[in-house]
Amino acid sequence: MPDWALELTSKILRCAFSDRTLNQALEEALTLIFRSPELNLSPSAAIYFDDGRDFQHSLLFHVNLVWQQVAPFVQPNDGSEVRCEFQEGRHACCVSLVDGEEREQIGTALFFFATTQEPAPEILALLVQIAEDIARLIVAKRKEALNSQLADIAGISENEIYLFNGETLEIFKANHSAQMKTGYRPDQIMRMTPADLKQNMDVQQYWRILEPLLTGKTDCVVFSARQQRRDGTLYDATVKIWRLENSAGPAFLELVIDQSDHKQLLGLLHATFDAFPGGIVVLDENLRLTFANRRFYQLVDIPPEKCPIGCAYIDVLRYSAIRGDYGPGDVEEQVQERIGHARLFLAHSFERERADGTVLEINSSPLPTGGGVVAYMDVTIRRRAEQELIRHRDRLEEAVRQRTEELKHQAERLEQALEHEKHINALQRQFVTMTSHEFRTPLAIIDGAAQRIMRKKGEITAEFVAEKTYQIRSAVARMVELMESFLTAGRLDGGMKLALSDCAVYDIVTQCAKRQSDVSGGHRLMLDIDALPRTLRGDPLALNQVFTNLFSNAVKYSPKAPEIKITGWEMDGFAYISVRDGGIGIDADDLQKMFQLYFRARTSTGIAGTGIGLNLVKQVVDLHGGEIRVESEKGQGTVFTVKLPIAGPKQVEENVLEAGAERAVA
Amino acid sequence: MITVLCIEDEKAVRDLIVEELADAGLRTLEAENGRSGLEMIKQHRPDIVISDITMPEMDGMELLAEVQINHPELANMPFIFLTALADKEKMLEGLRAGAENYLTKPIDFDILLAKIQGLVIRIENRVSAGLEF
Repeated sequence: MPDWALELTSKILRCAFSDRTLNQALEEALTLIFRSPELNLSPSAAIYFDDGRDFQHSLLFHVNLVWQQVAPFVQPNDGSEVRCEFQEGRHACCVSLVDGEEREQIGTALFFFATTQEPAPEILALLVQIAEDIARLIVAKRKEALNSQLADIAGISENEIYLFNGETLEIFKANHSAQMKTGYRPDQIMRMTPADLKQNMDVQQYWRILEPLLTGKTDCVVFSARQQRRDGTLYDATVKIWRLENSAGPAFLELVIDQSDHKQLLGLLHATFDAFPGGIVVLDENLRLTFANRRFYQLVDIPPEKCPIGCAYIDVLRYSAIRGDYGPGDVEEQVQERIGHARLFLAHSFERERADGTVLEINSSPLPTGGGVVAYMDVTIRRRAEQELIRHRDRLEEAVRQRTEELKHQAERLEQALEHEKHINALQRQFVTMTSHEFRTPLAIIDGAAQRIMRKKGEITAEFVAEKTYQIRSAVARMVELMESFLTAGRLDGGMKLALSDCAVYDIVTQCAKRQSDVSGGHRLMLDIDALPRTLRGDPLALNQVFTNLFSNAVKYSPKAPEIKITGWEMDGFAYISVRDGGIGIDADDLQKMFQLYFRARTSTGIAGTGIGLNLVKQVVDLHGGEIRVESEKGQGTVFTVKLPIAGPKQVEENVLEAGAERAVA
Repeated sequence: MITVLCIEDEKAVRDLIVEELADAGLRTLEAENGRSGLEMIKQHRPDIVISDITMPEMDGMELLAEVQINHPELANMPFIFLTALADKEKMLEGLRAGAENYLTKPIDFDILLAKIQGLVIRIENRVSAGLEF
């Protein structure tokens, strides 16, 4: 190596032995390098460092160039020690920077040449040498910075740090905290051993503690000790000792961690947990009780001495299982199932009801350091209240449901009543219209006949008078009949009493049929009543009304079928009279309403009527203790059959009441 | 001669009307309900119809509707309701359906005849003007 090169490398290495920072040292070294005329790096050349792994992002240091100019040369290191490239009019030489001790690449140096000629091999060899020097410089500087950081940390640490001789145990270095905690001056500490700073401990005992370190059994010993201050006061501490390899011989480092605050905190924590209304148990990763408060033992009802701190959680479970807390079954199975769950250290929550009715809410949550916390809360009162609330809600809901149902029924009943009322109203309107019509028709005949007599031109013959008076009298008779039926209906309304006698039912039927034949010329009423009893116990006037109505209906509602068949017979103490016509008939769904007051069947459209007659008939028949039936087919005709007890009604009063009640319903 | 058709199910009433119309010098036709009345109308084409409303088989309202809808050539034929249905509602219904007039029972023959005479004059004028209906 030429002289200038040796001088350059030694200058580079010297840069490390100053109190400059790493950056300052590097800057100085790089300036030396690119100002060296022998290397012929141009003034604009530069050296770059990176962390050896990612060029793009970890550029450590550079001179005179900006990144864009360097980028084309920069590629990930392919592992070779040196690599030359020519790009964009420059030659670049990349050399790996390697930490000699750790054999770890810590960066790459880039050298840019001014000339277009490829650098000579000896120059390249020199660059490799320079790169090694730079690497050494970086490592040295970094170590220096680390040491100074460690020293700083030791200086500001609140724990006592002692370095002591491995043969004499004499302390040769102590940090600031050591003076503060013990109260000794630095020069006093230097003459002591760590054993001197502990209560009731001599050097022999201390040597025994150090034994595992001396035999290489372990790297670090830890023990609890009571430190003694210069003024004789004591404090609890955790002591850790490491063995150090020192150029001057064996040495130890003792770290003293003051636990008095910690102890106090722990005491406070225990007191807090004991005051807490819930039970708390802390388990380590091996499912041992590391902590449990008083309430825990109360809630799980286990004497603390049975399952003290340090015992296995499985013992707690087994105690409960044997007592029967988990219900009937194999104790060991129950315990294993639960310990299996606990071992998972999953956050979960469940409730358990104990035999005495106490409800426990059990929450378990894992601890980040391993193990977990199980919390027990007595939620009996809350559960009771909730259950009571639920029961109350159910009762309320039931009450609301019932009330709603009742209201619905009431509404339905009202709706029905309203419908019924509407129906009655419609029937009454129809009744009024029809009644007016029924009266007007005979009135029209009477009035018309009278007008005819008045206006008659020419001679009024006897025949004419006879005809007109007949018309007038027929019309009057019709009005009287109409009135009679209204009056009867009115009488029934007030609760009619039958005037019972042995009435000649045979004669009544015959007379009614004859009267009907007289007024309706077109129809033939054919009587077949030989089998009908001659008399029965009844009200002749009322029965007269019944048959008049039935016969006139038969005629009225069969305009095109002139034959009306009236049959009478006797059976089982009852007289039967049926009236059959071949008329317009009745719709099937109208049949059951036929006897309602004011009701008129749909087929009756265009045929005058009041809706009173059949209702009247039914009431009279009912009062007699009989029955009336109707059979019909629309367009084919209708049969009404009246059944009357020959002996008459058994209890007239009762029947009056019944008839009255039935009408109230209609 | 003007022909009047009288449709009425009560024979006594019908007889009275027909006698009165005949006395007034009109030709008369008779029917006992809407259905036979419709047949008479189609067959004899009367000049005027007097019809009851409440009748079996086909009532007066149905008859008028039938004529209006299915026999438009007869729609101009004067149609007089003569009925015992005296309420205003029914009267309005009849007039709206296209009736010439709505008279109620008992019958005032003076008024009935006056209406008929009025119609007779109208019909004769129309016929003399060469208008058919």
